[in-house]
Amino acid sequence: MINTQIIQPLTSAISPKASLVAIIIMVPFIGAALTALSHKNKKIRNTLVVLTTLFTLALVVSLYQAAVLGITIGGHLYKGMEYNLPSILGVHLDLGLDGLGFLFALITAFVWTLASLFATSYMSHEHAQGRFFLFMLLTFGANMAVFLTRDFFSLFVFFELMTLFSYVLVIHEESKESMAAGRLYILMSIIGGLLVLGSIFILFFYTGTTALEPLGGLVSSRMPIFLKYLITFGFIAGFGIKAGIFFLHVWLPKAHPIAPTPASAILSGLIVKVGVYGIIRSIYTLFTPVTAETGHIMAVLGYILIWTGILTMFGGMVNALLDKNCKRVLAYSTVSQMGYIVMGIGCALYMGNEGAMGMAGSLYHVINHALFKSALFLTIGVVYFSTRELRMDHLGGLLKHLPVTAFIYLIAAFSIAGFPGLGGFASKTILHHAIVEAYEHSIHFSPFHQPDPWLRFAELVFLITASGTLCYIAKMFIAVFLAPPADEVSSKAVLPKETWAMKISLVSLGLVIVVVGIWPNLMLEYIIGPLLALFGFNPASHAYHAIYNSHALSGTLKSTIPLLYDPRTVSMLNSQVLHNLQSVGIVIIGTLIYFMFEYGIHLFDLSIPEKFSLGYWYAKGYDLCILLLVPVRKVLSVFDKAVSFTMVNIWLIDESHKE
Amino acid sequence: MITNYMIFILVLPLIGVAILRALGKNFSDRNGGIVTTAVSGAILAFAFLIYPYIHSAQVAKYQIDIGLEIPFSLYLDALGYFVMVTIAFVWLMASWYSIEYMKKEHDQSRFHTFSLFSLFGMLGMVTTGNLVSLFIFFEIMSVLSYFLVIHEESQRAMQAGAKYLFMGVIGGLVLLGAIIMTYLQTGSVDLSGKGLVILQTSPYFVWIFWAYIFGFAVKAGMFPVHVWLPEAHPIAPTPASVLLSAVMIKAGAYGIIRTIYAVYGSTLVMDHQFNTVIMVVAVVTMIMGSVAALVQTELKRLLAYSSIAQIGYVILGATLLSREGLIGSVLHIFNHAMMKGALFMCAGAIAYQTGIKNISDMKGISRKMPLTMLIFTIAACSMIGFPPFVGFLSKWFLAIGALSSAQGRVISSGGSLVIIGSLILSSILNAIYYGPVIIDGWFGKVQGGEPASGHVHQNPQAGARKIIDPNWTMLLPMLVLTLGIIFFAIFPELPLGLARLVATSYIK
Repeated sequence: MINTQIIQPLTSAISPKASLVAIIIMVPFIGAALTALSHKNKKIRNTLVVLTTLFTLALVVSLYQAAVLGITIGGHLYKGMEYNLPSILGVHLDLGLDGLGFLFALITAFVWTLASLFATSYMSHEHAQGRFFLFMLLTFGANMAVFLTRDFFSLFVFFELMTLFSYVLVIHEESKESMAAGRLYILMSIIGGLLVLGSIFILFFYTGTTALEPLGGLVSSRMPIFLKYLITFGFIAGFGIKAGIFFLHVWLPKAHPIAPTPASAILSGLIVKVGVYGIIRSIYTLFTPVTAETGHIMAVLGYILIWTGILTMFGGMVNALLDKNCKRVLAYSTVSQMGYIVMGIGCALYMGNEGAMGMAGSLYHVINHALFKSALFLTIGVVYFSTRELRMDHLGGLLKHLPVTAFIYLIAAFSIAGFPGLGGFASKTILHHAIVEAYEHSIHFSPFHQPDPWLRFAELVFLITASGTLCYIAKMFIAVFLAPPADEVSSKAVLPKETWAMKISLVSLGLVIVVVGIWPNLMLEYIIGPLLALFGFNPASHAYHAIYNSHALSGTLKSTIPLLYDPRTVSMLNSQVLHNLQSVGIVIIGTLIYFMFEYGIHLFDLSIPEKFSLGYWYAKGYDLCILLLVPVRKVLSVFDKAVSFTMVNIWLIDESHKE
Repeated sequence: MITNYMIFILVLPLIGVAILRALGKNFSDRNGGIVTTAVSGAILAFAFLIYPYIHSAQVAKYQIDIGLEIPFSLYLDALGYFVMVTIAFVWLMASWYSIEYMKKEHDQSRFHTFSLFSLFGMLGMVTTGNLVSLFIFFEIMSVLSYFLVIHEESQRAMQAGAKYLFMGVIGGLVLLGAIIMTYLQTGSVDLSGKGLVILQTSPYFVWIFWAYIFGFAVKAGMFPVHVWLPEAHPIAPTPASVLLSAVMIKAGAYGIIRTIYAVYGSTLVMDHQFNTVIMVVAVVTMIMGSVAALVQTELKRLLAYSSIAQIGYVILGATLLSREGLIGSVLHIFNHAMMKGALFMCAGAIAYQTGIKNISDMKGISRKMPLTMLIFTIAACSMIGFPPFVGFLSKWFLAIGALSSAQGRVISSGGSLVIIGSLILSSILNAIYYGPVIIDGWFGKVQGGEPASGHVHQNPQAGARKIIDPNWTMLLPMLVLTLGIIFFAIFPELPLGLARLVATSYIK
């Protein structure tokens, strides 16, 4: 049954449900105002924080049908929603929600709720709690709003607000270190924001619209070619700073670990995703519907993004392996995982309208990474809550003391490492398929009809990174939970245990990771699959067909890709499944080799000299820029002197008393 | 009616002066601020009465024959009206603020008298219909505001005042020369048209143009001739700094806009590529002002350099010769007036309450003055260009203006990208020099004091940290400006509609 109806978004004229979009944005801000008013009573404030996030989550969930699948009113199918606030900010705020926004909004609201619950108990011994919760909700509101906008202009407004609000979370400790990290964060974010804004200017000028809908036709007919590359670069770099892609990630390992742990979980699990969302949105706005010309640009961009992703994942992994601070390891791990996501987007672009696999993998990994990274950060948060210690060599033996935490850490660790039966496995497998498909697809771009050997190499790096991931996450588990307790830990008389709030939020995260992992095709069928239609992929392409068969009659399987088992026969004895498991085997062998080095010859106890870090050179560059301004100031003072000199001679003003 | 209102508006400051003088020094020392506030409030009220006429695109004209070949002429169109409202609004806030602030100063009656005289000059300048009348008012404003600059009468103030007067006089004389030449060459000094095309036949018309620009640029504080500004603005008492930095430099910008669009006309300016040169200077002004602001240690001086940078935006917009560019330029006159007014008032409030003037001493000031710091933060974020504040709107229109003037072949498309790039660079520089002030103000640690963790709710000695935000007389005008910064960003129809009218009257 092919649906031939014209699908249009639900407006408030048709159903009042559309105004829920605006309400979702308002709820966190109202909640923030209420928490600010109730700062005197901690219990009321904490309840308010959790209820606000929970209520927002419930509202988002209630929009599932309308946003992703579409609802039928009066014989018309409405998919997505829109709600416009005219004459605000000189232009207008176009709010709305579609499948892509829904995916990000859902995962954000879910993880944020659990992180808030965790924070109510974690923050009880911290200073300035009122400020923390206020800005946590404000950041939440701005973050949700980014996913609920329908034009670049509104998206940018909330994107910037989110940067401003989250700054306060980063510098919460107000120590010298956190102020420095915060400064780097805000400076790079502002530069990123302005790059985005510059690109929006140009896009708006040439197309006359900033709507987040396929503008490929307008863009290719009206915009000079170099401007297309320029603004795509602006969008990718601008959003990429938030997403922490390579060369632009330097702020991330500084800012994420320094924040209080619930904020780290949010920053690392969710806020980086805003960058990913921005990249996906902007590129697909600029270049769909796919034509020969946009297809060419997309392939070039895709190739660049694949390698950016590969570099990011590998660099992040190496840094995570060499670091000894638990939270910093997790922050570098975030950089590395963002590399996977960016690589997936690259694969999708590279293959033009056959890129369903890469996009599905990226989106799936967005969900999984949000779940396992926040779980990992929160478990390390419990460790810090209990021991006030983050350095691996000063920790140990916490398995008996914090069994729930250790168990959830293990689940999240297996998920990030891509073990079968947990969330990370499914998304990494799809991403692996995507890079292999890109390798096979590269025949089309080669003059000799040979696949690009570099992409084979990329796949190899992908697998090496996967084993590196398993290695650093296992290393941390051994150091924190298994190793004999260090003096710092064992000397302390009483170590606080996890509180109930912490246990609830950790166990809920762990549960979702397991559910997503055991039924890996669930997410594909219910969220990711239906929204692939937004990207203009060819529905007849092999990858699209495997992930989501939109023509399937209701009641039959919509997703047929065998990840953990073949969904048609529920059997693991499928050649593709066995192939997936084989990759896991390779990863494990790689990890064992690492551990031989680690414990045999202590190769990874080396500390990298500062000069090898990008951040060092950025700081140098910044100093140089400031230094270059010296002659400019000299010119200014020469003018100043010249005028003063004239005055002394003409008016004989006595300047000798100058201070 | 509209002419009557216009005359009322012009006469009101003089009535204020008469009241102040008539009731004696004692009275005006105590109540001068209230009189100035009342006068500027009344002017704002009359300005609102004019709004319907301007809205329906009417212009007001009124001529008095003063026995010369050139009559004294009053004329009000959308541009003049827009600047007039800005003047009245900011003057109202600054006078309101001065009621409390000036209590600690000497010789208040002199201050308020000359504040009213400057108001008269400013209002006259934007309501005249020919260059000669404009010049007269321009000089009144320029010379009489000298007394605001040197109010402190310290060595530093006198030197700054001397620089101010010296450069003001030179600028004025060059301007006078330009006006005389214009009259001799064309026989007209009319300002109400769209350019005196006949001027083109003059052999000196290039020189005359640059003389105009020079004369106004001195007042506006553009790059090579800005030297007086960072001396004069910070040294004046804060209400005067507000007036100087938020409003009076706009007199120069207004003059430049009129020169380009009414004296020469946009076609002529474009044909001879005058605008490109001014544009380059404006961009240089934007960047240079910010660069100089980077190293300032005194808050008011930093704000003064920031004004130089911001006037670059206004003039840049005017030289783009496109609709959106002019809208952005005019809008920024209003927006910058609110932002800079609020910022200077915060700097003044901090100095008034604590005596602190240097940025390095302001660490952790928010614990003492949270509301002041909040206002400063909002205004500074608006300066940087964060949405949803007004600064963002101006930047939006300027950037779109740059692109659309590339479309109209006024500048090359590469040029428009350079302009957008420098707008972005300027925003980054703004963030770099406002950022530390904000961050240190909120989170900085007091040197040698206790750690700045805010155990406000737990610390039993929290009461020891007294909140010393200024009293409401001072705080309210700051709050009004801040609310304006947010309100006119979210609902910009009023200023934007007027700015559109201005653009319509000059372009297409």
